[in-house]
Amino acid sequence: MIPLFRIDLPDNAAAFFGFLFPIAAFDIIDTGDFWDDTLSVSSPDALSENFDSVGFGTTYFLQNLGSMFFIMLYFPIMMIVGFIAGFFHKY
Amino acid sequence: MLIEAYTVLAVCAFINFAALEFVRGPDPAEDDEAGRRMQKVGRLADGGHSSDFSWGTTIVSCSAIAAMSFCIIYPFWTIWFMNKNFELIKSGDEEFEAKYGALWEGLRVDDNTTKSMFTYTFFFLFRRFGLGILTVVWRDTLFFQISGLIFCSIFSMIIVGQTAPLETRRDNNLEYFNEFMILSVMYTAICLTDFQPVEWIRVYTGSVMVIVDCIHIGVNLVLMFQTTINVSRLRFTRWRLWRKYAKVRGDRMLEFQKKNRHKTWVAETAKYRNKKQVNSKIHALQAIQEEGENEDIEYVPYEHGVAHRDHEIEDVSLQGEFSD
Repeated sequence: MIPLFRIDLPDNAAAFFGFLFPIAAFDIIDTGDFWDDTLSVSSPDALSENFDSVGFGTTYFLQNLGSMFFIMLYFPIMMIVGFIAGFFHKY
Repeated sequence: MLIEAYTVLAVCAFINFAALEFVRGPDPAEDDEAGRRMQKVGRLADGGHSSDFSWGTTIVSCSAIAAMSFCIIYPFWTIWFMNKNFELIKSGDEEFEAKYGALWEGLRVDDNTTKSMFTYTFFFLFRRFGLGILTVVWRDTLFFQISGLIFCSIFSMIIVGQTAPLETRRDNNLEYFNEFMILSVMYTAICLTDFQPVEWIRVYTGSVMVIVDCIHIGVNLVLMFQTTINVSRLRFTRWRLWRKYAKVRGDRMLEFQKKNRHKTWVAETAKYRNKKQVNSKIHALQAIQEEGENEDIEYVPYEHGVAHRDHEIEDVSLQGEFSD
């Protein structure tokens, strides 16, 4: 998160953190185009260049979250499946 | 995983929130320009792109609001939940742990556990939420960004030092080390502000920052691999011993079978013979009963393994039994 600070980061450090961030953010697949096409929206620009450099290339939540959104879908889906399974288990 | 992803979730929600504005859709009752602004139903759109308003932007904005609500509620809910179920956590109830154990995974849970240790979990989450505030909301205020992170690290070190919340001493020391490295990076970041204007020093400071981060990541990776290798080595040793003694056990079993082969054969033969004998006796008795030639005959059910006339009792179940 260092590049998001309002410091004047030298190029060597900026490149290093830019490389690290996608790994730390679990952003495996680029889903920006998928969301743009599905929701029929054109993503606006990032808040600043700092945000753009670490992968927050827009202000839209789903586009920024990337593939992590699909990984996080696991929890609500499992809750729904558990609820349905519990409902049928009674009968 | 949700706890680890909390930082990115909070920052993404804050970014969308920072650009969010509430606009109102067109009102058919009021046709003029002022009427378009004053609408009955509020809608959500992103800042500066109101002209591109669509349901897509509304979905994105609503999901950001939901994520933000979750990020605000989650740390408080966590500490409330853990305090409420303190006795259950302390007792090590397996079913409860299987369901909610991820909340206190890695924390020391024993008889000396106190509620104050849960402040570590709360602060662990809350500082990530705070990071979202520092990077997005206070993105134009450098002083708050750097000092905020420095204070977060210091508070975290105090909590770890006072409560020693993690399972082992090594984990607690590693946590100290992590916080110290974050502090080092933040102190280095001070040299990348207007406080230090010389360009070549900035480049060197950047290199120092990269080196500190590499050491930080490297030490954590080495310790992680060390733990994995130790566990793998222990498992391999256990497997090797199991294999070794399995061979010994197999040899003993083979020897035993060779030694008792005759007895086994006799026992099996006797069992077979008894079964055949009992069946034939039952058939014979059934035949006698059906014919009604001898009314003194008493039929004993097969589960006793006995079929007899009342004057000749024979417990065939014991015949041919082999016990070592």
